[in-house]
Amino acid sequence: MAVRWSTEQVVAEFKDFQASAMAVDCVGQWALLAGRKNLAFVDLNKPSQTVVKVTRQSKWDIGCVQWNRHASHAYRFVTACNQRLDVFDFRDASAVHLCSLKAHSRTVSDIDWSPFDVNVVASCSVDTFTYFWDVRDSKKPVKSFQTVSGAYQVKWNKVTNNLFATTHDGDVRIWDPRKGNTPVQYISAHPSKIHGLDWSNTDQNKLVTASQDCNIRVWDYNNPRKSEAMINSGNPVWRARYTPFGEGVVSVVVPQLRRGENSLYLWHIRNQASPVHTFVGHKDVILEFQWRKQPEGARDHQLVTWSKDQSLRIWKVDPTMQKSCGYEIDDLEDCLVEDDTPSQNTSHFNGFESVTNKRLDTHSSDRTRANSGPVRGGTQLSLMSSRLSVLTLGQELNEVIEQTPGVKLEEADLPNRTLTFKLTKGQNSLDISVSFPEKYPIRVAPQLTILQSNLDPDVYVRIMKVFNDTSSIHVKKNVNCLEPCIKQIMLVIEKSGTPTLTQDIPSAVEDRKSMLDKKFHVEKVRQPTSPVAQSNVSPMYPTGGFQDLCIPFPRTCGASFCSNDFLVTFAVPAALKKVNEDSEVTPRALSDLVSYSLSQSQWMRNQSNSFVSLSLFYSSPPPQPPEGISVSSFYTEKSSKNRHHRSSHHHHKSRSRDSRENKPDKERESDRVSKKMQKVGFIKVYDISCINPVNKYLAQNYRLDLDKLGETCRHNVDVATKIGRKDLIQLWQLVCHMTQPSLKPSPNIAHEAPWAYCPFGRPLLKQMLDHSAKSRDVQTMAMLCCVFWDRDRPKKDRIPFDRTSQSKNEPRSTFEYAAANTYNPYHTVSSMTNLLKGWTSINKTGSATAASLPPHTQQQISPSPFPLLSPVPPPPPSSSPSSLLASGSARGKGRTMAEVASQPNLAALFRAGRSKSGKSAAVIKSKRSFSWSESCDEFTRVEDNKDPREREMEREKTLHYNNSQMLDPELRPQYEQIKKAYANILFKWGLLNERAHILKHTDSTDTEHRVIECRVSCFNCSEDVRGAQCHRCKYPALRCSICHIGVRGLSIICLACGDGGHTSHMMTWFSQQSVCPTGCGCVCLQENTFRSLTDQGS
Amino acid sequence: MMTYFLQDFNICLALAVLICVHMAWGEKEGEKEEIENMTKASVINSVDTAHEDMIHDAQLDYYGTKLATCSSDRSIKIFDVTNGQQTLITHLRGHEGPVWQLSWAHPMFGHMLASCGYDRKVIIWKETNGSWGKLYEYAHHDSSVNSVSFAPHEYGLMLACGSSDGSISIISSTGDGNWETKKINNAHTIGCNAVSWAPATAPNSLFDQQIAQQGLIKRFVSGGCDFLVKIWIEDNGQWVEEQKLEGHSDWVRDVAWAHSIGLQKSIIASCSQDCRVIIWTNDGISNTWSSKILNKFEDVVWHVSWSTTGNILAVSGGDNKVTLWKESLEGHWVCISDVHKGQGTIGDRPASG
Repeated sequence: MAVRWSTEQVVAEFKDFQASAMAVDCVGQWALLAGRKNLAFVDLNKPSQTVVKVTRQSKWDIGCVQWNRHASHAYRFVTACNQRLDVFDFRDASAVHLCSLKAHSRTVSDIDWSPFDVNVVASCSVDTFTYFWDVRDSKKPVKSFQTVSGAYQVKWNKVTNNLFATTHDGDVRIWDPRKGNTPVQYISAHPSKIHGLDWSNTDQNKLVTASQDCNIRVWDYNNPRKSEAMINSGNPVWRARYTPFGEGVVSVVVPQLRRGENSLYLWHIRNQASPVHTFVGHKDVILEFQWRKQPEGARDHQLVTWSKDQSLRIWKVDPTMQKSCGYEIDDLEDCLVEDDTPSQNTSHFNGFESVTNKRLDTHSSDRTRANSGPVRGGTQLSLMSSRLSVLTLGQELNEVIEQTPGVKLEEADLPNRTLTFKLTKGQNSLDISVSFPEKYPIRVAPQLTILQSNLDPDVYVRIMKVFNDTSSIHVKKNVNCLEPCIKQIMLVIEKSGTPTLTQDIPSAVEDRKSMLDKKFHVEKVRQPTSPVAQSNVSPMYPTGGFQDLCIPFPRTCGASFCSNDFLVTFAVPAALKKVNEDSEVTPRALSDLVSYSLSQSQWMRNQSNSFVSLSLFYSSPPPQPPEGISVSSFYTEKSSKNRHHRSSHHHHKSRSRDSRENKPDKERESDRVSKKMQKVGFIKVYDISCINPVNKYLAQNYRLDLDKLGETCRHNVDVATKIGRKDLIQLWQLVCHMTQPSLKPSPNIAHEAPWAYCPFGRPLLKQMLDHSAKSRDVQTMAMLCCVFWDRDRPKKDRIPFDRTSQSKNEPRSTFEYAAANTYNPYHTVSSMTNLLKGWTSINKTGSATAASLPPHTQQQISPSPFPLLSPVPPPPPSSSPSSLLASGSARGKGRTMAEVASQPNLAALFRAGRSKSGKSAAVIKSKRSFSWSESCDEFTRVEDNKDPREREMEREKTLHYNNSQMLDPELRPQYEQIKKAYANILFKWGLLNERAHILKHTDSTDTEHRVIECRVSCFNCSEDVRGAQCHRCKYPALRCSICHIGVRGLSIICLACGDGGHTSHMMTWFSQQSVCPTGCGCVCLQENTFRSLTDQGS
Repeated sequence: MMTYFLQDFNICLALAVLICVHMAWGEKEGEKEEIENMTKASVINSVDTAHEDMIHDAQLDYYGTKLATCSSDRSIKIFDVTNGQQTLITHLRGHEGPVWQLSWAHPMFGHMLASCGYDRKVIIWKETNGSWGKLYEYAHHDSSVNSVSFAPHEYGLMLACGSSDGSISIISSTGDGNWETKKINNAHTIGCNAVSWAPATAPNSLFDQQIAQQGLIKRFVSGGCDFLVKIWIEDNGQWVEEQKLEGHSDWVRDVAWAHSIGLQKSIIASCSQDCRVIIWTNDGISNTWSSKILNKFEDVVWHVSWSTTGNILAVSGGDNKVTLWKESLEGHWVCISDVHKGQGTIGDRPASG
């Protein structure tokens, strides 16, 4: 028994301490027991005798306590109590309070003295901060590190300076204090909360984590993706610490569980199946354990434990036990020698058996161990196995089968040391047998034989190679190699893709039945249920890896405005609530999700299982980490807590064991079902038209007719009345007044101030537009812009530009243009014609008629085109253009000159009278838009030879025109945009007619038409024609080559020969022929396809 | 003549004052009604998607007839939701991880949908002859693609996507079935969480006719883990950072550029892990953006969305609630409603919930 349970132990009971924390100093002399009322110092050399007690007054328990790690300051220790750290010096049997360190805002969860700096202590708290303190400067922390979630452990690297680790739920962050608030590494170590972390004593890269998920993992922090080893202890692990020897880890279960699991386990990292030793003796849960420093030369190690049973125990770990953790005191050759000696073998044998016996014993006595798996193999195999320094074949076998999915043991011939496996991965399967020589794994590799497979023969070669490589690497280090080898083979199988079934398999064993089975199996798998299942790529799913650290936490709730009137919302169903309801905000990164994935469900299961039935618990498989983590794990049912309480309550009452077993099962089943049903909420589509400033009904019913504005307004008032928009009723009534025909501007500068310049003209309209803009009522804005749009304006704006540019190139067109406008009564230059043309149309409706124009306007302007039109060469440079004009007009009437002279004065008068806010004329002029000034430039270029005074006058006209507009011409592009925006909204409603109607009221700005223009010569008069109609003989320019009639509608023209005609005729012709109907010999079909191809190419 | 004018003026003045008073009254009335109306905002459709896992985005198409949803179950579903019905049109599988976001293209390109997900892919789906299929798959990001957004149709078929690898890709169709990509590397250190395009009529270009004739200025806004909101502009075919807006104190989760209604003002909303929503405005003349905190919420804000006319902002976040915000005529932002998602009811004030 002594060997089995523990080696000699020293027990000291301290009934009255109620200590919650314990610490052993670095020299191994004192153990400090810290409780709410006392600090007790126990001399470990005489634990039952020497006790120094220091009373303290506090309502808080001491959370953790630690002695300074440096022998020079071994008397110093720090305690963490609630949010505060206290540093004491323990000298001469009294503790002197040195200083208090206060900065944390929540309970301090862990402290750690720096192993390299005597004065520095690190502390962490759930307030998300980790602080470094210098005990010489207690006012504030010397360094602080913040994370999103609270920190539970902080541990310095024991080997190298400037490296420490903190744990946050399931994550580990490795920090370099020199790099500030950015972790150098991130390990999402466990799916559940990490309770304990410890750095290796010898390797600066290694650390071990203990977690709620029952696993202990060993990490190389440079490789955060995969743990080096994982030990499943079957219970949530509170602490796991490296042994000071070998590759051992000591673990203890979470004390809060109070499950009667009062033992410490000693594990060998490489032997993950079962602990190599169990320290049994404590009557209650172990709160703390620490290694005691041993004097030089001592072969034993001592482990000091403090338990809830108020006893302090010191356990001796002798070299045998150390060896079982892989600690080789002598070098390798000694080991080999030892292995060969039979005495050594027996001792190992005994050791192993004792462990397994103990394990069986544990099961029968307190039935708390969950993991019955290793026992099965352990007992039968230990009988034949001979080695413990490395794994026995049986242990290895168990490990392989448990850890690698898809591996099935077909036959285990242990006496002959041969194992036969069936490996399946997807549709591929492979039967292998591995034989292990006697000396394996000490520098002797096992041998692989492939029995049968549905894989390609060349895959065999690869498998053999992989197997040999892997095994040789491992046995070189005297390490077992079966598991890595099998894993490598599985990878090869996975990569080799789909098998070819028809190939000949070098096998004699396969009978027809199994062949059929296999075929059926393959076919069944091949039937694709979904493309995902079919694809070879494994689905990517959040796994809490390093990359997920910077991926934002998924949205599970959202609302988007779509189309015009819809608000689409999605959310988590009301029945679900967040798992972390207590904590304040939702985490930000996807990696934070990991901590929620298992903790909840597993805790629940463990809890309920302990109540439910022991048999159920035993048979349940050890919890597997999920394949992928889903956001849904972040949410849980709102009522689940209550239900759990209810059911547990129920159990306490019920005495019958059967009812205990059945009922909760059903309950949980129904829970699961309902959960699945409610996991995804409904998507709701809201109609938000009631708060939308644009209204579909209005859009459909608004009328817009610029010729009957009064009627339009009255109609729109009615429409607004129908939907009860009082503001719009007012607005349209106002518009009705503003568009009175009597308020139309007069084209005559001298006549009267245009209405637009009255405060109730343009300013009022501006006010209305601004008001609509504030409520972003684009509908009203666009309607206003359309109503007050000047439909004649764009022509002026555009045509002068085109024409003048043309006139520079070919003067003929200018003549043409002048000729084409002969109907115009003014006989002026092109630009002016347009200007006046715009006015005439206004005049039609306005009070003033074209005839009422003062005659001097005509006469005065008419000479201006003279220099352009006359065939007489331009005047010699000596004579100034002004003199020419002056002489011209002087020739007409003397009175005109007087008029011209008086004109600027009138204009000045006009301006002075109209600019009510005192704006000077200069200001108005300077406010011209770019576009307009550009076209003005064009005027000046063409009319270089004109009298500057005349130009001045034209500018006055332009100004007057601008001033008489209700909509500020300066803002014209913006008004165009408003109309287009509204047209877009109409498009979304599908109101295409309405949209087209609005677009009719916009200036078309698409000047660039990228089309092929066909220039045909009129068949009637042989004039070159650009359009469809000959401008000279007014006859359709193109004659159909089939029917010889002029084409009025759609036409098709061959790009090569220029012949063409009615679309229908041409279609009929070319459906049978490929040559031109005119007989010109052009192969039109071919030519045109060829051209279109080359056009595309270029 | 002068007296006539004055008389006229007086009458007009009286009339106009009257009218102005009326208008103001009418507006006030209208606003009050709006708040009342919101409580009447009706659920016109409630779609059971039958997704197997959490839904991460739902979008209606341009006309509001098709609903696309994406989920952690790695699939996308498209429903016909015309007239309150809900018919599953297609179930698109192709992503190998959760699908984060969706974006519909303008209907002038046909029925086209872009999706992005954890599997680092952007997939463009298209309906051809009534059946949906993959049109293009873009897999050149090194980490999860968090946001995808089609550009205004004026730029052609173009989309931007932001990834956790910190880069933003702009994918555009060349028209002949090929796709061209431009990548902004390290647009946001740590990662880019959201992209949103500026409307095609960027206000600054309104007056600059020459620029307007050369082509529209393309802009978009992005938000990332560096707490910044950045505005990007295309300059000679290259995307360059135009503005950097600082204001958030944690990861920016979403950005939304309000639709243009033809005004000069640009508005951007951004929301962040710091629980705040910031409204950024630009007057269209200067190059400065002024910020205003809409509200500090109790939980993380995940998503902001502007209504068509840009006067209402829908805000949703980790607390599973949706709130609608409207700018009053005085320029204050007020919460006009509160949609409790789970229950599907709408209250008029957050407190009532």
